[in-house]
Amino acid sequence: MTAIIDKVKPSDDRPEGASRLRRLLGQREAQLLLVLVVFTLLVRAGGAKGFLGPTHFPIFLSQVAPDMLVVIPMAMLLIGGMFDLSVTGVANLSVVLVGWTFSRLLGTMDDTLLIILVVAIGLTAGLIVGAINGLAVTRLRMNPLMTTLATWWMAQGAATGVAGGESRHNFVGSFRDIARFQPLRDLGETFPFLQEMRISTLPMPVFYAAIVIFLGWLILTRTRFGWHIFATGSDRQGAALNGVNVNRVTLIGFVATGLAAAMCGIVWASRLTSAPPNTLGGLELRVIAAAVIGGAALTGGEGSVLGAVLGLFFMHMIRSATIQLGLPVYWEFFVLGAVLFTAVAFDAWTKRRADTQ
Amino acid sequence: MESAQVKAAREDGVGSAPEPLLIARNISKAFGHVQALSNAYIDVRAGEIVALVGDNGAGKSTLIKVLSGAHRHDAGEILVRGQPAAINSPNDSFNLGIATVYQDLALLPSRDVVANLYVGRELTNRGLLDRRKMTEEANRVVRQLRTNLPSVHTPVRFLSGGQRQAVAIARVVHFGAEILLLDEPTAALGVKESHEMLTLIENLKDQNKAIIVVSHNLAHVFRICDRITVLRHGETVGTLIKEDTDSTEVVQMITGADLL
Repeated sequence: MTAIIDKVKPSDDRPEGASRLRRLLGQREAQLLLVLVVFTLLVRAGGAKGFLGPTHFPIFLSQVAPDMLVVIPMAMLLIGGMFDLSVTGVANLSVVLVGWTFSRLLGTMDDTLLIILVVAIGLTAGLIVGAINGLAVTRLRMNPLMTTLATWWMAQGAATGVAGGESRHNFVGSFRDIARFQPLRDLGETFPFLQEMRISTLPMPVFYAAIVIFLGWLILTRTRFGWHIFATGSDRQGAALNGVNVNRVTLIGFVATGLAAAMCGIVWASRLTSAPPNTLGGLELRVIAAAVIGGAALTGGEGSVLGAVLGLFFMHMIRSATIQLGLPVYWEFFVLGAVLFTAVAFDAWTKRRADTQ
Repeated sequence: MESAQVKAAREDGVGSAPEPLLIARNISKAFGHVQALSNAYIDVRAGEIVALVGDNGAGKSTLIKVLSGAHRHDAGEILVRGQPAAINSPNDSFNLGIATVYQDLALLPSRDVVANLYVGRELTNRGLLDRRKMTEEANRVVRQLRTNLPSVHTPVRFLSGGQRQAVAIARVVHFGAEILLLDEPTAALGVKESHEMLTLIENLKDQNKAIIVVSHNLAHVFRICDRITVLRHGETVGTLIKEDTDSTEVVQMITGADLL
């Protein structure tokens, strides 16, 4: 066996110097981070001096946060080889159910209890739609694209139906805290630097997003379930033959995405203290595009939480930059489309290059 | 229903060799109206290579999938180490020490060698993945096999056919499988890689594994196997000992020409 051992090249687990740097730059996340930095410098040079500066950044984070709740489970669903168009409908349904419940039950019970009930109802809607999506795709073997398009329309239709053309405004004041409470406010008085850097003004959704990001990263890279998600997306049959419960992975993925979309709706309802059934528009494609820009493959098996985070940052930065530079806002979608096109073209190019090697 | 060859082979075997590690008898399996297997028989001993041959659609892959737990058989009996075994899932099969390397390898192309070695059986430490240990073990396993992998962190889609095959077999060997089911291990390989793969399989035999190899390539079959089990229309028509036969007879049994 010694002759055999000699034939084996040492594996480069810890590449040194240049090769390490090259490997780092070969990572989608590093490339994207570089693009974001260059983009920020260009926007600043172009006249928007405060872009992502100390005043803008906390506001930017709180704007990104509701989408961030959804992009993480969506990225995990994509990595598992599935995707979910229904999130916008689910989020809007959750918004409307929150408003409707408030308008019906306000005054009949303790406010805190009512808020808990409202949140529970919103999340239950997400749980149900997510479970329907997951069971339809796994048990009935329905196509995920058509299934989630159908449940999107059903959820959206239920939202407008329940709203009945009105927007509810009968909110309990403390319900606003779900989106507006600043948990570090008091800490900012003790530590002035937190106030100077505006960290003490960060509202709750930023912290929800941080928790979701951390959990997503932990699950995906540090748990068996995370590896099972990758395995399922990489080769569903192969994973199943190796004992991975692929249907469970898919079902949990859809349920998590549904719950996250519902939470996104709750945050928006709290932010607006109003419940129009068209609160969220374009959420589904925004988060799918963000995950794909961040390196998630529509064919499954590839992607990362960090990539999805950076991808979503990029999409919101484009929106912010368009406004701050005073460019015609109507062109925003053109730019987003161009960025998505470039990302997908880049993916195809790297795959082609890798295949011919 | 057993043909003379089956009896002859078995009687010949019993006297000289230990009991088979795996016996599957009277196995039948239908998919709707299609009877994929009816009365299939195969057995294999430790340190023995049995080739499973037959025409396309003869039921070879179905029989392998029954043994590996991917399909549930409708009737028949499977004995592992002399004990009746209930194989209803891939995990049942795995727990009995049976491991399968599929024709399409069942590898995860976007995942690295480590993830492929451990898929479904990841090592954990206090609930979280023990990635360091899995990497170390993967390096050790790769060194044991005669294979030339660039790094255990290479995604499998960047590996050659032979390297992928080696990863698939490394996975199986690493988990201490005693009974290996190899489905067309050389089908997708070039001449040189096929040669390396056959040598690898012979190494596994020397490590006292019981090996069933499905193959279309009779030259490969005759190079490595000890016995040849022939399936036709889902039925075992006979098991031949390599020294007692030649490829002409095997072909006749595969096609049914000898019974006409």
